Formats: sequence, C-alpha cells, structure tokens
Amino acid sequence: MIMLVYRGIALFISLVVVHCMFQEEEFWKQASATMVIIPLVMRVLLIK
Amino acid sequence: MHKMNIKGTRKTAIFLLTVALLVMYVTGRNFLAMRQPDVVIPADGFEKRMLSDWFQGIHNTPADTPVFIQEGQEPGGTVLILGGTHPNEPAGYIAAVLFLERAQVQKGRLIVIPFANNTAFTHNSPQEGYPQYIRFLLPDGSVRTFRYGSRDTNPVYQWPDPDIYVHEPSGQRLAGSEMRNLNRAYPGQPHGVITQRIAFAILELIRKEDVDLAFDLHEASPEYPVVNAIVAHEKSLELGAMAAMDLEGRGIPFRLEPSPRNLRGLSHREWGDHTDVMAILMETGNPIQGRLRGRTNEALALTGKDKFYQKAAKLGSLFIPYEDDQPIALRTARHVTAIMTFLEMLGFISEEKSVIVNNIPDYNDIIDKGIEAFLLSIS
Repeated sequence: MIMLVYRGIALFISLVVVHCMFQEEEFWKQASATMVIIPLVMRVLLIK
Repeated sequence: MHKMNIKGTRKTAIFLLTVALLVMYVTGRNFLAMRQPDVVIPADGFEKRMLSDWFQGIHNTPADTPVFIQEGQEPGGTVLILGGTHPNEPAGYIAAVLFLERAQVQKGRLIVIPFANNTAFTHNSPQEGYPQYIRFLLPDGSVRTFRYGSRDTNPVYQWPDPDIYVHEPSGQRLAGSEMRNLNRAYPGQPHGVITQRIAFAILELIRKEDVDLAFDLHEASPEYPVVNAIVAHEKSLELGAMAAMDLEGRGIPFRLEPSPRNLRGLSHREWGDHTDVMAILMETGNPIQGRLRGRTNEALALTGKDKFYQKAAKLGSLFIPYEDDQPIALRTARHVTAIMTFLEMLGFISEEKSVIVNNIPDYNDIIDKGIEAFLLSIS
C-alpha cells in the first residue's frame, strides 16, 4: 500500500514538473526540469 | 561563465521531453537487463527446485531463487552452500557456482543456492561506480557473464527504508537501509518485508532438510578486520578450529572468529541459534569493496589490483596479505578449498554425517588456471 502511495506522489510531481516546463520561458530551466523528470518516471515505472 | 540565453517555448519543452524519453528508454533497458537471471549449468545429478518450495511466502515474487540438490549413492549428512547473500561479493557466488557446475556427490547430500538474495542481483549500489557485470573468457572462446549486484535488496521491491531498522526478535537497532540486508534479517519473519521472508525461507530449508553443515560465502574490504576469516557459531567452533588448523598447515591461513552472541540477524548467529545446523560464514578480501580503492571497474572486481591498496599494504594497514593484487581466482579458491576441508573434517567428527564431494578443483589448480578453466561453456 505504501508503495502505491509513493508511486502516486512520484507521478503527481512528474506531472507538475512537465506542466511547469510548458509554462517556463527560460530554456535552461526547462532543461533542469528534464533532468528531474527522468528519475521520477523511472521510480513511477519501478525500473530503478 | 556566460550562459547562452535561449528562450524557452512549447517547442523546446517538447524537444527536451523527447530527449528525456530517449534517455529513459536507453537507461531503462539497461537497468531491466539486470533482472535477467545468470545462466548456470548444473552438474549431472543436481535437481533444481525453488526456495518457495520450503516457504510459500516468496512464491511468485522476485525473491524466489533456484535451489539445487544432489544426493550421493551412499547415505550421509547434508551440506548447504549459500552464495549471493551479498551480490557485490562475487567470490562468494562464483564459489557456489563452481560447486554447482562440477560437484559429483559420492556420499550424503549437497544443496547449493548460488543467488540467495535474488533481488539484490537486479541493481547496483548507488554512488559506488560498480560494474554491472563480470565476465570470464573460457578456453573455447565463449564468455560466461555474471551480474555484479548490490549488498541490499532492490528498493523497487522493498521500500521505504525505516529511519532505524529494529531487528526482530532481538530488538537490536541498525541503520534503516540494513532492513534490506539479508545478512541482518535472520531468523526472518514469515509475514515481514521481502528480505525477512527470504531469510525465513532459508531457515525453513535448513530445518526441513535437516542440514548438518551450512556455509554463507562473503567477501569484505581488505582493511576490515574480519577478512580471510571463518566465523563460526558455538556449535561449529570445534569443526572450524580443525579446518582452520588444517588450512594453516597447507599455507592457506584463515582467522577463526567466534560468532558474537550479541550481534544479531547474521547467518552464523541465527542459523545456529534457531536450527541444529553447524553454521559457518567465510570472508575473503576484495579491494573493490574497500573505501581506499581508486578506479572502480570490472577489472578491479576480477583482479583486485589497485595502486592505493598496494600503498596501504606497504603501510601495514590491511588485514590480508596483499602484494600487487587479489584476483578472483585466489578469493574463490580460498572459499572452495575451505569448504572441501570442512567436509573432510566433518567426516572425522561424525561418519554418519559425512559428505563426500568429488570433481572439485584444488586450490593451486584454481589459482593457476583461473575460474574460467572450471566453468562450463554455454555455447
């Protein structure tokens, strides 16, 4: 159960970061967000 | 440093997301490849079963792991060899694989579990720079590959770690991540987290199969005092002393360490306390595990050659004799030879519990010819 909650939180943050990427007007901040998304998605998918 | 000023737009966001997906695809494939089991080729006479046959609580989970059993023609005792408790200690599981691929049991029964913590083989320890695989080039040109895993259970299967791990049933307190360490989980809990259930399953196997003598094979950093050592429970201390003396006489020194009574959760303590088995844990010296090491790669795992350890040895800071290297052939030969010596001594203590295993290479053969000479070809 706790793992499902954890994955839910990771998915929620991933979506918020993607949303912020599309609002962001600085390319380098978008690039930083990209690097944040990668491990989050890996966790959501239970790959790493 | 001047940063290029590029405007962020929806198009750049889509471009960067595409790059992220590509990175995820490549790295994801790489991580998932470590979930493929290593290929082993059991010698004739071994029967393959699964650990869940002894405890259903790990059935259909990634923790379930193969157990190989070979019974000799003559009745005798039962011996268990456990490799892969810590998959970042390769001489332990390579020694188990060597027994699995070569042993011809004449008397008694031999049980081999080469990959005890199967889930710990499916990932690396973060921030250590460890290789994902170690490889052996066989004389026929084929390659045998083994995963180089982590000390602990994959957090994908057991998460989150508590702040403090309270060992059951002793109440001993350890760092939270130790909850994923199989060798802190014994005697295990049938309804616990997955590492505790693996530990419980191994205890069930020892109890139900009436194992007389059991080995848990490890490696440790050369600057750690319990290295090149035999750790024995009270029940196996006499046998350990006999084996250590015999090995010393043959120029293969091992420290004999009694299992501390108040250090809980370890195989050499809990196996002995909770079953009738004579429990033995053995350690060899592996520089890739140490904090003094330099470049960390497959070559270091295989050769143990490291200039910083050479310097540390000259300063007298190590607990193993270290000249230029510490190859895996030497480390594995120590485990294999020590096990064979224990079997010989077991026969002296009790004829009815004795186990005779043939076709195992001797110490000098393994060192001279290398591991690759004794692994079977998969081609």
